[in-house]
Amino acid sequence: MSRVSTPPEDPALPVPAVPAEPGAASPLSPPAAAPTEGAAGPSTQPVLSLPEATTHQAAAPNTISAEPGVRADGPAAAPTPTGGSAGTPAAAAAEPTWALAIHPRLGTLWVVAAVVWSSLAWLAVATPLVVVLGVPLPGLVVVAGWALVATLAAAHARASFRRYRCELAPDGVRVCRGVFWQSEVFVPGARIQHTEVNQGPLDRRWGMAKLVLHTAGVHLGTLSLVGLRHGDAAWLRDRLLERQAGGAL
Amino acid sequence: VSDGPPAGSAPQGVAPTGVPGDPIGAGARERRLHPFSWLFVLLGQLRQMALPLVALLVFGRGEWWELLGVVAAVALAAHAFVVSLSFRYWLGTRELVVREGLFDRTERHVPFARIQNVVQRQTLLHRLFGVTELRLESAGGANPEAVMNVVTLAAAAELERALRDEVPSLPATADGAEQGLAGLETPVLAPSPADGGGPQEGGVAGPARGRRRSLRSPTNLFRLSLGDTVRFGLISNRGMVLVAAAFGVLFQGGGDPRDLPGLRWLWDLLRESLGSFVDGHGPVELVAAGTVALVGALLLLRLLSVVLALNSLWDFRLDFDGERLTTEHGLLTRIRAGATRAKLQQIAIEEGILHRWFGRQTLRATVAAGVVAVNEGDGTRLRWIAPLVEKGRVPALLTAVEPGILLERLAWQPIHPKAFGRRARRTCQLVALLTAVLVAAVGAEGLLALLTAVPGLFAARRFARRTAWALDDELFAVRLGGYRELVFLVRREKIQAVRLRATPFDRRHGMARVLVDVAGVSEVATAAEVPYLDARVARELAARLAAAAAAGGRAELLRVGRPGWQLPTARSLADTDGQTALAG
Repeated sequence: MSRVSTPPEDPALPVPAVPAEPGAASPLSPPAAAPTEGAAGPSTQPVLSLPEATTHQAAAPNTISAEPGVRADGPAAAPTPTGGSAGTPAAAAAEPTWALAIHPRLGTLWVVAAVVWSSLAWLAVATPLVVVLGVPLPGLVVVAGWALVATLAAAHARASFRRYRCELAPDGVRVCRGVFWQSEVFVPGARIQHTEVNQGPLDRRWGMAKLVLHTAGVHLGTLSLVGLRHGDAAWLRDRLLERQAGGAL
Repeated sequence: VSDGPPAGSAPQGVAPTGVPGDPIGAGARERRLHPFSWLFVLLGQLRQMALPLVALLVFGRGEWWELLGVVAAVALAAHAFVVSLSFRYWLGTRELVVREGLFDRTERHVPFARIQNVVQRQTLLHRLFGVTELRLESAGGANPEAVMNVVTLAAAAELERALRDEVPSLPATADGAEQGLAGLETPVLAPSPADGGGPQEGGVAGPARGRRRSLRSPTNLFRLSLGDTVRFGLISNRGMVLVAAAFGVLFQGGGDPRDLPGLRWLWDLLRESLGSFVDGHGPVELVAAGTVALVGALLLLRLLSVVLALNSLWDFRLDFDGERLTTEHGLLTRIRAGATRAKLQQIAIEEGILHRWFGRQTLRATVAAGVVAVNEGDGTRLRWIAPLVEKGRVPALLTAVEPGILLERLAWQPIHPKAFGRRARRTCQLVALLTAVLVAAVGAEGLLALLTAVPGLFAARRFARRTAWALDDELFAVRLGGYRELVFLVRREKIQAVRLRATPFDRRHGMARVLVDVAGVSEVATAAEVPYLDARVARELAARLAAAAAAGGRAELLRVGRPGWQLPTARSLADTDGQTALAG
């Protein structure tokens, strides 16, 4: 409860504290200054930016809604990041929805993984055909097929990365993903049971992390925010639990 | 607390959350597992691997690849050792932090308010070492929030004390624990009416005792009549499931089940009598006899289903004492299950063809169940509102169970007008495919498969007409039409999460679908998802549901006043499988 009146809390919202990330000089800039390519920007890009200014419009032809302007959480008018105290629900409603910066390495990682897996899959199909069944496939066909499969997989991974979006709404977290099968999952902050920040060896090398939000739900019990910068993940985790404890969320 | 990531200063005691491996500020309070933890982790893993290893030792012939198993076992041991070494935990003011993993590191934050049960597990070996396995559980989800395998008894006591001390507004009275997490709270091994007078009754703490006091004497809301029990058996057709399972078991051995002595005799008898019957009769008689046999077998299956239903649902009754719903049923095994009304997450109304024939509906409940309740099976979990109830009585019964449910007042909204077209097209494509395959296989007679399009198209029409959704101040309702109709009723404040989804086909037609998630274990595998919505409607609906979910979560946190748990003053150690429940 006492959280609400803590001075740094609310004014800090549009300008949250600096993440413990060595490379991230400016954790947050005003939304107006947000780069247009939020998902794949350089590592010095803001932590948060308004989604309308970022991937949302870039992906507009693909979005589920026929009308990208209708947002699931906020007023239709462009929200102002300088909304007053977030301590009251009314003020909280005036808060904008922020797009969380995705670590640029995530895209690379997805593409590399897609190429590796599709190559293995191609091997798994082509090897029995040629070796066991003795189908006379010329080497050129094998290589061309492999190139095609790998290219398609890489393109799909690239598209997935472009579509992948994590948003911090005033009252929860939303993750949008999928190229053909698109989905947007919303988890209210007040429903989070516990959180995990996970880092593999590569994540640690790149300062990347995965934030997992657990709810009590049956079908959507866990929501994974992959490819966040580690400082952001910890910041977001603390903020969500903090607000939960303060009852302000 | 500042919004910045705590870089060592850890204001207000919040645990450091910086770069893993950076123990700034954590040193003073950081705890490790017991030094022999790896042994227990290893034993736990060996228990699963014991059989293969024994087989390897007994049947092994010293081949090189058999060594791989040994190598794997050693690697497993090493991994368990290292992982248990890397396990750390510490307590902040409002949360427990657990950090584990060597290569793949995870830092888990569990708010105290979400820990509702502390479960200790002690086997003989645990006692020899003076240690215990500690599990911190919350209401929802299938897994514990944290497992500590293993800590010393002293450390466990310290953790419990810290949990109790560091929570500022720990409710001192039974009432506080009583309210729990507003419908999510689950008493682990606390005596529900189901096990009243059970052996552990004496050991359970005050709060659990308080829970047993009902507000007023229970009133009966529903009783299943004998006729409806029989009808339920006919509808459920569990006999078929049983027979299928029996066949599965018979053939699982791999060999011919006819080799079994008893079955051999039966098989021979059957073959001889069948042979003599076939020899003595003409084709018309044979067809008639075959039909009679088939119908007889089906009737026998239904009869078996009825017997099963009579056994399991004998004298089913639903009682309500103003706070807690209780069901009781069964002939040989009498099962009592209960849940506070606040724990009720979702109600599903099912109406199949036979239901419609009899003018009845089935009402199932989804209740937020804790980890232990899930693992221990169905015993104490409320599953039914009514296995079979006359359609006309459903609205009144549901309102009695949950006053917020007013079925007649729901304003049902239809789905996209093009839904029938999509369904019908899909049906036609399937029928065309089936027909093509059959024609290729058996010739012109395969064209008969085209007839299946008729029931298929009727199903599509029914689906498109009946599928709908409704949202009012209290309730979100989803109705999925078809020959078997399902209605999901979810209290708005119980929504946990919302998903908006569009398949490529959805997007081609400008549609989308919306799913709401509730806590607990679902009795109905189908999710409450509205399909074939207009994309704009879907987005608008998802937004409203998301707002409802957030408001519900806020209300729950406020109502609970955090934390929703309380540690007991007494322990029960008398449990058979060595589990000590510290019910909150």
